[in-house]
Amino acid sequence: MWRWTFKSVVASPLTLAMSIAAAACAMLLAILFEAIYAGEAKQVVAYLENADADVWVMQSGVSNMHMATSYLSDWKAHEVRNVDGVASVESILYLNTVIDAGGKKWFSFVVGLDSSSKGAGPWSMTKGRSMPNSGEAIVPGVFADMTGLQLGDTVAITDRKFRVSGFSADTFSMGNTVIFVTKPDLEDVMSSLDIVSFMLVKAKAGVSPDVLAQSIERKVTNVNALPSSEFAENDRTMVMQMGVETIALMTTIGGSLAILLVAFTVYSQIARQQRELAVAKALGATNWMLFTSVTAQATAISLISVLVAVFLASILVPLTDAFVPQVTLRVTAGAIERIAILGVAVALVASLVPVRRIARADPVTAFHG
Amino acid sequence: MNEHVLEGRNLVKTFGAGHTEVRAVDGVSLTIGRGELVLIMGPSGSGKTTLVSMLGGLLRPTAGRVLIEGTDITALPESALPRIRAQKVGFVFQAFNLLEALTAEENILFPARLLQGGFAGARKRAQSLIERLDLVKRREALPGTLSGGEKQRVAIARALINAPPLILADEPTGNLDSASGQEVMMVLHDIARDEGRSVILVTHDPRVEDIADRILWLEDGEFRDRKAEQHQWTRDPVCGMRVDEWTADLRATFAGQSFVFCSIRCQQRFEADPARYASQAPDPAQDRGREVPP
Repeated sequence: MWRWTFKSVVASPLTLAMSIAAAACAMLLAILFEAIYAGEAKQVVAYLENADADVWVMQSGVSNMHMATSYLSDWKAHEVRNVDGVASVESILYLNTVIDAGGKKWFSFVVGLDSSSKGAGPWSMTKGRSMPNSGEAIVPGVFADMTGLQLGDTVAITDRKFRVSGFSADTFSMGNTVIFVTKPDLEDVMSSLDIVSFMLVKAKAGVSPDVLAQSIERKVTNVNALPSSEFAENDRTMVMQMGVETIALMTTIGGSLAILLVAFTVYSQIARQQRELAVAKALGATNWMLFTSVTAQATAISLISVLVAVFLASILVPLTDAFVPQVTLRVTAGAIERIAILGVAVALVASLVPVRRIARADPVTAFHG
Repeated sequence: MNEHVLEGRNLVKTFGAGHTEVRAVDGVSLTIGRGELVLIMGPSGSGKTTLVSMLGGLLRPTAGRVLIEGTDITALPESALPRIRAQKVGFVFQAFNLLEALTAEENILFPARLLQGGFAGARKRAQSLIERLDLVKRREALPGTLSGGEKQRVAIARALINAPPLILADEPTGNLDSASGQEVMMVLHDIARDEGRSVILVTHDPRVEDIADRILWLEDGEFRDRKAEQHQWTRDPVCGMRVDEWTADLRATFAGQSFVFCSIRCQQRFEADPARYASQAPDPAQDRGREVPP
């Protein structure tokens, strides 16, 4: 029986290759959609995850950064600094706005940095300086590639022009970009003085961010203090509920299409053998034998398809990173595992449709040539 | 040992219900002894295949019983029938029904692999069958590369691999040319005579009547006596083989004249060049009126 099962699978190499290719393409599609979703989900909070802070302090009532406005009097930084367990405090000014580079506009987080900033600025650079001077902006390298910006070119933030002095890495997502300017420049843009938006707090060694956040909220009035992980998660949730919902929808639709394609491919492969299954039953094969034969074929086809899909993804993802840098793809082991399990499950269910028909049918059908 | 290999008692098979009900087999009883070669003949749609399917445990009768070597297979649960089919019945189909991915030898061994513990000795039996059926040079060939006669010989070997007491063959020569058909018929004859296996043959081929122990005539789902004038002999215009015009399934019309064929192959050849064969066709009148062999 196993010999027949194996030989039936490989009997028509071209058909088998096409089946595997179709199923693999469907799974690759699902992997890529998942990768886009995961990549974007990571990228939208890249700044929060890479800024050097254990606890973020913001205006009371504010709990995330994306599309949020937070105003704190700058003297509160002194109060925060005096809380037990605080090692250092760094303040940033922050504005949600649109950056305009030669008519190309992109929604951006503009971060105003103190000249002494150590952990709130860009964490990786592709070109130029990492700290802006007055009248300068550091923009994402990907945004520069998209717009043709060169170092020394000008970008507009509201009605102010800034000279580009550096290109940062890993600061671009489809939902936003992170632009760095000096704090005085941003104060000027916002017509605000003596205020900060967020404070990045470093805890002393051995102090838990959760405990420190609670201490800050107790000691400093009208502030909200959140551990970095919670703050980033809040932001991720907020972004997912907004622009990334579209990606999630695309992922769902793409995943559903992939499932249908895998199901159809495996169904076709097994249905092609329906007549031989009936013959086998007439010759004395039990329903269980047919069931195991068909499920083994479906499992083999879907697992090979997963491997091919992963192989193709390992080629396509670096190529996408190189040629379409505005799209961040993140392939995770969890996503591969999910797609593999789903692919095999769908293939098994699809394969059972023809075998169920055989199990119910009279083997007398083998008599009808 | 029960000398009746097969008994069918008052077998009835109906399809549909109410005013659409069709009684394909209507109260048929028969007994087949060991080593008997029995023909079941009858016009198309008379219920031959339905009857054979019930006798082989492929189809449950609406009423009646089927006993193979004394075992009432109609009383067995569905799950027990595959083993009965594999052990007790060898099937030979008109369309050969070989498994395309397997070689001739693997096809022959397939039913043996379905039986738990039944594979011991099967390879030796397969070797013997391959030699006997002249398949030595074709044992590694895939079905797609075999001729019609070779396919049917492989199918016969497959039917014999588990040494079943009963062979059921439904139109085994229907897709073969006359020479291959004759060869297959003689193999089945030898199986009955030399090995003591019971062979039930559903056929339209009148040549087999000469080698059959008994002929059962099925018409409208019942066994009936055949009339003396039942055959209307004519010649296949392609191979010249004698064909019963009255029961023949394969027909064609050309230039206002009607032709019947012994096999699909002959029909296909005729249809490819009807003018050629129609002009060579012998006068059918010379065969008509011939008496039916007893």
